[in-house]
Amino acid sequence: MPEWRPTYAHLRAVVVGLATLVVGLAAGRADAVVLAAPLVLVALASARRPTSVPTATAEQRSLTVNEGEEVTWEATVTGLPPGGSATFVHPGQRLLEVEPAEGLLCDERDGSAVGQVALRPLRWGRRRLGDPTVAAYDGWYSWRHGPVPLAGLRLTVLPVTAPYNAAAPAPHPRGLVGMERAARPGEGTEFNKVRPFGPGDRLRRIHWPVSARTGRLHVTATYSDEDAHVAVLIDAVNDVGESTGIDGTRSSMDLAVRAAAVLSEHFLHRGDRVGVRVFGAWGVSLVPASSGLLQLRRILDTLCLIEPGTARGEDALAARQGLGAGTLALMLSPLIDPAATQQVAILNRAGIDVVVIDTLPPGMEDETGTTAAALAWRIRMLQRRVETTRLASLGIPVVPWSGAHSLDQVLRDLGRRRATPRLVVR
Amino acid sequence: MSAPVTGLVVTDRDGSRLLTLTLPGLVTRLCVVLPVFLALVVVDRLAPEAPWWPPLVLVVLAAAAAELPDTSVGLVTLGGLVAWWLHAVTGPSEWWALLVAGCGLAFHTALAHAAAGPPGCTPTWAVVRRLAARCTGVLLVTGALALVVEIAEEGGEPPLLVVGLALALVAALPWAVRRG
Repeated sequence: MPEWRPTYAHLRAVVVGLATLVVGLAAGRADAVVLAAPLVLVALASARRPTSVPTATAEQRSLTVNEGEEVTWEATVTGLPPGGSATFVHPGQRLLEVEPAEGLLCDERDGSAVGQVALRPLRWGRRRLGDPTVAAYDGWYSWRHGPVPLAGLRLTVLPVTAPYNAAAPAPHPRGLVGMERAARPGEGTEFNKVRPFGPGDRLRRIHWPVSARTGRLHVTATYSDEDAHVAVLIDAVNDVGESTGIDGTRSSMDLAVRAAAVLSEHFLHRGDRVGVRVFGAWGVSLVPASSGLLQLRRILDTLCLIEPGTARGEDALAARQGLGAGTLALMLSPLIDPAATQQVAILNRAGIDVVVIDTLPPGMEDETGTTAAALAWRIRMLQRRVETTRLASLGIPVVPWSGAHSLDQVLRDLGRRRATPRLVVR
Repeated sequence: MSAPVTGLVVTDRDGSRLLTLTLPGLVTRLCVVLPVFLALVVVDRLAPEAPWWPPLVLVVLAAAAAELPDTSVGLVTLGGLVAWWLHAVTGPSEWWALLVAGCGLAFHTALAHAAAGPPGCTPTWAVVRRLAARCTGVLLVTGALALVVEIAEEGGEPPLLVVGLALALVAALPWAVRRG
């Protein structure tokens, strides 16, 4: 339990002030008395040890924010002496901006002081921040109480979901509800054809101009609106490149997680069922496919738990579990680990539409060093180029992630391709 | 960020902070060093024949105190400044002493403020205003004391009552601290 302790300032005022006063009086130096006066007055004003017992509290224990979003950490110190002040210091850490970084000194009002420190996490993830410290002072900084550590904040930083404005539909809608145009006619909004009236047709569907011209009742037929099953597969075996936060350079995991968040939000807003499967991260593997805004929150919560490279050597066949033909699989991978390429091939053979989204950060392929590591990296980049060429020859599109509209053309091509018969292994 | 940026942060490649230059930190350091410098200029003006090296040592000590505010370097600096005054200035100079006393108070308060938190800790304006008001009050009392001393000196020896009260004050202070 801390108590009020005198500071060096108190020692300075007492020693220098009184010594000068004594010397001035002993030597008959009036100027010394004047010199000593302010220090003696300060020493007198803070001669008594404060009797109050300061108590520091911080209400917030855990917070969920988006990366790049600013939050305020607030603490209150009560029981300050009259005219006192309190210092609030929140420790900084990597990829976290703290303002003011060096602490905040607040004055007392009605015996308490409130300190507010702005925090801005720069990268997704779940973390426990360092313990903030609080210290109390009297009016002349002659007595100090503390510093007292407070419990650190548990921060869940969700990846940003920047607006993704793809207009292309998912290629294989199969569910019952949604915004995608299905392959079969039914109740919906997308025009199919005008056909003769049949039993069960609604009267409001009657196309009167054609009916009047032909003398028979005709109705406007539509395609039914259905949802699609979208599986977002994340390769978390490697995290390539340097991450300096949302405003700086991005690593492959940054690109993958943010792209997954954006894609999930986009397809969920369209009414599709979206699931996430993560490879290579311990403790995070699967979010079953579902729809709705709650599913988006589930996915974002799962994405921020990813710790890349913590679970290696997973079975490549695991990628196919729970995915049927007609599923749109979006594989987010830097394609560094050959297992990712194997998984893509397995999914493709099962009749699943796979789009590989390349999350290798720009410029990583250009390695010009002559060290052994640089040469190994160049060799791997050459192999990677061969593998992507093979994937392209199998009809699997490999698209670099560049934000919105990255997948527009690819999804349109996949939609057109569904009309083409093809051989699928069952 | 909505809060104003208060400092320039120098980091290494890993993002660890190497140095943070904040405006409050720079102002506080200046408030520590400048009063000592000003007091030494006053001493130099009153005693131009005094040796040159003690002021240099005191300025260096003041700069060291600004970097290490929560240590006894400040005590050494302030004590050295007073000792240098008592040694170098011999003639009657109460009003100059008042100015140097103000410098000493400014040095002491700025250093105490700097010690309240990490270097560069940002104070609110209310803290600064309250501290300035307190210092002004103390300086007004000191000014009144200088006036009394000036009047008393004109009358010759200082009154015994003043001497007795001052000594009583010295004796009472440790007692008051122990009670606290």
